[in-house]
Amino acid sequence: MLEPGSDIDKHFKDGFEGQGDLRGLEANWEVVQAGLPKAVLGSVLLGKLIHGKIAGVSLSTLSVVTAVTLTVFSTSETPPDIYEPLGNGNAELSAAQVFSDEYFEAQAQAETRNWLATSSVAVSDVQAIVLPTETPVQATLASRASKTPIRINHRFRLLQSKPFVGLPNVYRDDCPIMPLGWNYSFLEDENGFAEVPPHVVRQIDSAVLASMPPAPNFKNRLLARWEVSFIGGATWGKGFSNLSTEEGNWELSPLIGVGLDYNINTRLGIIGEVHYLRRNGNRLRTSTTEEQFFLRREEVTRQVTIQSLEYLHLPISARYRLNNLHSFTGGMFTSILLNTSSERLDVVESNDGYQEANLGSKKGYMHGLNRVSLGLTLGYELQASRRVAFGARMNQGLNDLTQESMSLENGVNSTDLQRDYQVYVRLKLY
Amino acid sequence: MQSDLIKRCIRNNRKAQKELYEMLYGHMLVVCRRYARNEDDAFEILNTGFLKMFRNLKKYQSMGKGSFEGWVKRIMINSALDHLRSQKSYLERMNFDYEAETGQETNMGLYNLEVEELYRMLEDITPMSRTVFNLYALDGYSHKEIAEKLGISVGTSKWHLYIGRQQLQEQLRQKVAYRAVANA
Repeated sequence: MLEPGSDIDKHFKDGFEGQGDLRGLEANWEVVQAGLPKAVLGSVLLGKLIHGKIAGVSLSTLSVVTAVTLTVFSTSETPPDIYEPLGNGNAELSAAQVFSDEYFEAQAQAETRNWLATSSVAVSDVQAIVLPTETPVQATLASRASKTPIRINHRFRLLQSKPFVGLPNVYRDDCPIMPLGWNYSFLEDENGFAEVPPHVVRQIDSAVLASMPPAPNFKNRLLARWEVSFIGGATWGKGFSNLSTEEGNWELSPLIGVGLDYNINTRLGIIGEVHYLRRNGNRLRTSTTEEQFFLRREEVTRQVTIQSLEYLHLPISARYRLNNLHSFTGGMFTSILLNTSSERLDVVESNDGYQEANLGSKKGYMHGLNRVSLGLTLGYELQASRRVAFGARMNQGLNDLTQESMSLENGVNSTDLQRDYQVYVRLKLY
Repeated sequence: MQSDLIKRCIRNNRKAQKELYEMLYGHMLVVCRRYARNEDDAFEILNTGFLKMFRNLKKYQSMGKGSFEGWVKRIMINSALDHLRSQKSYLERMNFDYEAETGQETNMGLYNLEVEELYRMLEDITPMSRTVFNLYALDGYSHKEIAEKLGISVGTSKWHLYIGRQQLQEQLRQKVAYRAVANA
């Protein structure tokens, strides 16, 4: 009997030994040839960059030297007259054509930028590229279109909820790839947001392309980078006290707000948020005393204990996405004091004796508190699904929340810095 | 002879490049085909590999030693691994099902599979097992080297080899059984 492992190895080794397969030699040579120095794309682009015809170009370092990420934002010259509109429909271009000088020259000069959407394409991998809608270049090159068969499958799906950053003209696995504008891609996989790295384009479906919406204008491209979200959660913070003998309590308080994300690219973003933040558990006590002499002596001490503070909390953070699931945020916040809630107690001392009168809680006492405070914020977010993320963060204030002038009991002053921990759910609305 | 050809290729002589390409094509396609999940992928890997090769011929010349074909083969293997990595979700769908051994052994001497059938058998096993099997069994890499190349542990590499062999053995067993029924 045979020993399974080594015999299988040997069987396969022997089977492949000395084998050669020449199928597709000529066709593949054409593809390889297109990527050889004579048609080096990088130098063509670089030349254009130097001459200022292309506003934004980034070369990717895909495994193939001819892999290129091209971003075109603005072109000002009108296309030469030699190009004529093609009319509706798509043209399929061979890799050699797409990477030709003529193609790029025409791209650089065309007024219509739809089809100038960034493509990260390896010449060796591209069998054809479909150009959408009518463009001058298309008209020129369409007559030489290749007849590449179409084969697609599903891997990514497109984020339909937002406008595209650029018109997709390259597809992978049935989905458009649009790394327009700083190499940013609006594709998502089953885990939510997904970056599309320099990729391999195999074959392109012109039928899918035809069903795509038209390219957005520049304004929409910018809009596509924004995300609006709702934030709800809780803040756990220690209230502060101006009494050295009395500690503030750790208490939970509600957190509610909206956030606005601007994605610089798939990893970096800026988040601005507006929260309503309530800080419970404070014991800021202040008192005023009045003495009256009318028929008799009466001393009234009004004691105000501020229990909760309400803030408009405005953090602005940078976000770094480690991957589809995890991201970290860090930045600064400004808190604007909106209101307070305080307990009031009147203590009356007179010739008749000592009396206390609890006046209950009241809002609006702001004396002695700083209206604006600043601090640092540091957080983490877990992207649970496309729309929902769970986050936690710490806020550390940098300036005292109470003013020196605040009338303090016992004559003790303390530094009251805001420090709290927040857990929240972020629900993406747009 | 080969050295002269390489020099001409470096000078961007298209005829020489074609000659070199034709010389290597058949064998390299077999290498790529072994790693790829289908023929189209193999062509992609092959074309990428050839472009890398032509781009780096100068480097090979400056190194000056070693088998040229071995060098090109390494490029092709690396291209195949790059390709595999680029299909991350594809890898993530790998089946990590620790199944028990079938306990059956196959007398492979009874059965002579055509190369195409070998390709198909390799296509049918999980991508990572196929890659590890190729690297270890057919291209002579050690588990340590495989672990480094694929970013996995040595233990995982061994496990994939084991699973790959199991899957191939099972396929062989089925084919032998099918043949036996057909012949009867």
